[in-house]
Amino acid sequence: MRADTLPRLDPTVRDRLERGYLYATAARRRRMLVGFGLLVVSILLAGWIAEVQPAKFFANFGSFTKYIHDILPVLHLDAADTGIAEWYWGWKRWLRLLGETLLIAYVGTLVGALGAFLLSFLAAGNLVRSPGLRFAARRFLEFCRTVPEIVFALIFVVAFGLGPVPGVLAIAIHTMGALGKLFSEVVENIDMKPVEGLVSTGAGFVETVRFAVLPQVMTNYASYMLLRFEVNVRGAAIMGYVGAGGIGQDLLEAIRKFYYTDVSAILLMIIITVVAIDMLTETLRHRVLGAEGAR
Amino acid sequence: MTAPVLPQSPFSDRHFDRAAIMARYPGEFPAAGFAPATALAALVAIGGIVASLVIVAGVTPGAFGLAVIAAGQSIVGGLGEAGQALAAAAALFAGDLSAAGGALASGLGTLITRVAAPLGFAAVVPFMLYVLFVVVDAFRASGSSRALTLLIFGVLVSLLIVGLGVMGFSIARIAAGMSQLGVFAKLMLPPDWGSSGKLALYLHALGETLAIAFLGTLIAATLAFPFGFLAARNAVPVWLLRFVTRRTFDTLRGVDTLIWALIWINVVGLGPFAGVLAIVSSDFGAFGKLFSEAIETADRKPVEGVLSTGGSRLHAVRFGILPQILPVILSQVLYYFESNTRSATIIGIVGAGGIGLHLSESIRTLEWQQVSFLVLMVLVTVAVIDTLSQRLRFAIIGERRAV
Repeated sequence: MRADTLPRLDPTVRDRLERGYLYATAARRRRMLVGFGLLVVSILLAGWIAEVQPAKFFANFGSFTKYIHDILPVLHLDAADTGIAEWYWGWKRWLRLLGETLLIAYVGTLVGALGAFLLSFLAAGNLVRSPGLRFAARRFLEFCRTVPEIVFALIFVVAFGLGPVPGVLAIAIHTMGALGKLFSEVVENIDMKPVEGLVSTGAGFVETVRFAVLPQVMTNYASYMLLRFEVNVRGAAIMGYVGAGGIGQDLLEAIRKFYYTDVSAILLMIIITVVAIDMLTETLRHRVLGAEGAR
Repeated sequence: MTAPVLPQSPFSDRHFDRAAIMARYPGEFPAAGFAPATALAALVAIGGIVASLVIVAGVTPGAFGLAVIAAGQSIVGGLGEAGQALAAAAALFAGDLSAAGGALASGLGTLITRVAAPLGFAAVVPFMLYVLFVVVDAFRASGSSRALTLLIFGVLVSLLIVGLGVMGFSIARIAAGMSQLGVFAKLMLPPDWGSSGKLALYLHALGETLAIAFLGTLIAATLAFPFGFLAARNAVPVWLLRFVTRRTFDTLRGVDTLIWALIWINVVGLGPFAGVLAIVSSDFGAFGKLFSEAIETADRKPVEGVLSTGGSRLHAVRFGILPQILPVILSQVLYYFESNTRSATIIGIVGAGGIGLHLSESIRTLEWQQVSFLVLMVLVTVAVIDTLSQRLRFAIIGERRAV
């Protein structure tokens, strides 16, 4: 078959098609352009409100690198042990405070998870028929997770006094809000057949939850709790800023009072702890979820 | 008409003889009763919990009982008082509206102070009951897994109680704090911005908060985008480079936004610019990690397709990987914008701009009505941003679930 015998589109049809294509892409391009313009305008507006001064930033960037240089300890190879001993002169106190930080995170996560556990069944659309109860549970959880934990900590410090107690409560409330939402989403995704089976035998709410829902959601709950514990360790490390316990107070003091090497010593401890907890919880989560998959 | 006679089931109630059935099928049922391992584990768990309660936390049954009774009295008395105040409000609504508002606030306050706070405390009781329930529940079957569950449970709860004791929790302190909180809640009740000058100040601070979150997220995402490729195995196959980039991300992420804010204040001075830089610093690490993961999970086939037609590695990234990851990245950026609106509300506490400064100031000076107003402002803003970004996400990527 020769090339010129190939079927060709009628020129008028082709013209119309090409015009349609151009029109469609032009509309898309126009939308893109408008979106881009909006973005630029909002960037400029935000930059103006946030008092962004690139000149100042670049002029003072030297002080940032100098700061990093200043907080690093002076270590010599021939006297590394005494250097490290001097750097970590307060290790006993810092270790204790780090322990307290972990404890705040642990207790806060557990207490918060307990609250989330109880509320998640009330906030799940597939278990609770009463829209009023569900609405109340959901709004309450939303409130708990939207207000930042450090704001709760500020208020609790006034009510409960200084120390780790307000820190734990603040983390617990925030955790309850965050986990409550995740937990109720897990509950909404369960297989409903066991629930129907139990309801048909006349089981009440608690029995239905215990024997039809709980076995399906337990592993996911545990996995989310571990994830939250990791987040809460970071959160607990800053609770000390407002006097709510943990290592944050010492770090804040070191930064504010320019105890340079202390800053890097404490920061390094926090970073190592956070990374270690990261890896630990990840391993545990894989084991928990793996046990689920094997069943 | 007579009822049909149903065949008698061997498992019907009258004939059900558990022992006989189990004896008929030897080896098919787990051993019944209390296996020694389970019993021992339960004993250890209960013993650990009780011991840590009594020794470390100093909880005695008497003190606990007294506290529960006090909470109960407060709830009952508070209900009566609140009822009277609310009834007064209802009566006043016909006449004086502002007085009715006052009575309503007082009634609600009483409800919070004397009912909700003790109720919160009384919520400890169902927890204790649940502990008992789980421990007893463990006897429903036997086996080593049950024993292990019990042991883990006992250790976790004991550690919880020890932690509570070490950190200075006590029933008296919690009860006192709860009633204090109730008083604060009552004082917060009609949210109020103080004066019109303060309202303008608060609105400006809210704008600052939004600007910080917006710019911080955008700059962090733009900077992290190229570095995400450096940390992805399938884009840059250099082991050392990947390792260094990843550890850098981890370090940046490990330092909290508040700490970054403190550091940047030293560089650019107090104000919202330090807040923007703080969010950029910590989110750079987070985005780098997320982006590199998105790149690594991208489908390999389009890349092979591009390479097979003679495209370079850069072409493969541009036409093979980018179209796959762009929607994921966009939805992550939007999600972080929401979450950064929340974090931008707090960096003001250390002086890095935004509404946090006013929030912490009004808490420290005990201006409770302004505290509740500010919290309300934050809640509304976050809700609006939530809705907007959800719309935008759906518009950009279609009805796909955010990763």
